Amino acid sequence: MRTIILGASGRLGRYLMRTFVAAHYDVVAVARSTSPPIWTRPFIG
Amino acid sequence: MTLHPEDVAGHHQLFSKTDCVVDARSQRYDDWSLYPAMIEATVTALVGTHAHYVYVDNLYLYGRPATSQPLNETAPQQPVSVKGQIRWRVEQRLMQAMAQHPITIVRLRDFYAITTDPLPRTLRWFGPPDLPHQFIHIPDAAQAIQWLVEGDLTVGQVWHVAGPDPISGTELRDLARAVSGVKTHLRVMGPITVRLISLGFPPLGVSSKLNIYGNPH
Repeated sequence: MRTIILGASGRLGRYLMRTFVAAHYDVVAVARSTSPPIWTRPFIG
Repeated sequence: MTLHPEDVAGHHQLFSKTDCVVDARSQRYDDWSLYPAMIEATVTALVGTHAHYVYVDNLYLYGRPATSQPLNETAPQQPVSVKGQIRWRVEQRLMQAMAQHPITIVRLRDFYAITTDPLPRTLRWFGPPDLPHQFIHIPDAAQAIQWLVEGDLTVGQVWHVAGPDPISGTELRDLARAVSGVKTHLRVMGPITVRLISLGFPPLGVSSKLNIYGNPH
């Protein structure tokens, strides 16, 4: 099954990639072209 | 590959050639104003495709529980923070879109990953340190999402993915000390601290944390 992961570079996205690839899905990773400044990235939850 | 969040044509082109889209995007913590437009662009890009859209949400839309009972899926949705209200509106929009498109909503607890999050010397905790809180390990959340995607059986539904047994702040501190051998401290952020942070940075949604940690979620 072909699956797109939006937010593939995030904390959850990275694990989704591993999980779907391990399950033999055809995975396309998509990250946002607009990367937020480091200080605005999640620090809680 | 990378795409601009509001690039409808680019997303549509991708979605047209896929079976499933899992949306694990969040938003920059200081500004959630662009989040609804990003999701709206995604919904527009889905039109005319057969892709099963899986939206990953959290529990902020429940806001402050009306009872002292542990939170469950029948609790009223009363978001109180900016982020919670935005998440709630986005879910309402997606529920409307479910009539035209295969969509699943997955609500996750606060998550953590031992392999990527280094064990800090100080643990931040919101609300009463003796009140249990439930977390989910990110690999478990990812596995649950993969199972929910399998076979399209969850189309048109909202799923809550729970974690293992709840743990209190003091229990977590003791566990961290036992595992690391380091005297880990618990820094409790109470209502006053949270209110000050919320006043300075409302979009952070820290008040959501207090609602979630301040009740038996």
